[in-house]
Amino acid sequence: MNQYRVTFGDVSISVAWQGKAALAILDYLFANIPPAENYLVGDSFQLLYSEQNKEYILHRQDKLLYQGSAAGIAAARLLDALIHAISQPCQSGLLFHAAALSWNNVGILLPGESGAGKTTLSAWLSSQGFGFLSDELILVKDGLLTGFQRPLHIKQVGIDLLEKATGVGLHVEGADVLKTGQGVLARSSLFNAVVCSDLPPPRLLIFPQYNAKIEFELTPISKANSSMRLMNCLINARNLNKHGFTEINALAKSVSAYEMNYNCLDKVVDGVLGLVR
Amino acid sequence: MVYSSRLFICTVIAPVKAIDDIKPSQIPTPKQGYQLEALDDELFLYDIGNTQAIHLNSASALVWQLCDGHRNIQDINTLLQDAYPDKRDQITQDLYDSLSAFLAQGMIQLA
Repeated sequence: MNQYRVTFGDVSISVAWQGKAALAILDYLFANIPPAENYLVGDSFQLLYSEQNKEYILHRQDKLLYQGSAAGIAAARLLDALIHAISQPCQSGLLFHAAALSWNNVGILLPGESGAGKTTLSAWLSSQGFGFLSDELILVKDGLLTGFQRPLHIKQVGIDLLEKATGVGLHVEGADVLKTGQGVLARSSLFNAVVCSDLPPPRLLIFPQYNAKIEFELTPISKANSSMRLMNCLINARNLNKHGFTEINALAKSVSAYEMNYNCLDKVVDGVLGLVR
Repeated sequence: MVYSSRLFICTVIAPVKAIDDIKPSQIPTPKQGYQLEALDDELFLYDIGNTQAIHLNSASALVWQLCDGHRNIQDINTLLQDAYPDKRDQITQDLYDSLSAFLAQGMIQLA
């Protein structure tokens, strides 16, 4: 069995694979993630592709996560479970459920729960010249942002908004787009995103919320409110001293924070640039 | 500290206790064990055991700080009325709203 290693923060995940189609999925998902040293070992995975049955078989440890012929679903299941596996032991910094971008080395952190619109904003801002770090998982360590640079997992609402705004076709499966059942995985390069190799310091916090009924608005929020929201998006709290309480407050004190409601992308770029400039 | 805004707690998930159930003679006692950080004139509270994060704006932070397990609700109301005489009409309602939300969050007990 061949081994593929995915490392982020201080955690390394091993994926045993067999079959070229399995390797193609791993390269599609993780090719942009640089290797690292001095890591903890998390759960291991196994991804096989059976040429005979034309199906993928995905396990985490001994648990079957997927068996079927859809590459996109296998990829999405692996991605979700692998991110969970990374977050469980991670203790080197604050690991947020967040997107992040950069503009002239200004780090913009967008924490939010699933459905908040992080991925849609990441894709759109990347297409408009912002550096791309991640649409899902961000590590804040030593005052710098590091992103888990996976393909963008775009839900249906985001697909509609992005197709309209960018003209990029997301409904047809191909080398860059995989259908996942919940939406699509799309390479960030589809949006001409420049993967940000520098580690920018966080200078701006935006808590996004997509809401079809609310016009675009960008509202400053207090530091205490920011701390509360950051804590709710911190996914490795249990591994940190006092659940990262001290570090969360230090971050909230040092960075301006805003709530962004949006139902279309027209005003997003000007709104964000108005804050980073 | 300016008593300027109404209660704002972002994480209310339980039903709010009826304000009529709160009596002026009762003594609110804060639950122990919160990590607490004052940020400007607001508070961020975090309960590690329940992974519960709470933001209190300036008004509710002030009420929280007056809930010391010794003063009863009438005492707290009087203190606030004396401190902010121009807000007398609003203060009692805000106080009871805050206490009601604190109860719903399990942040205080009434004795």
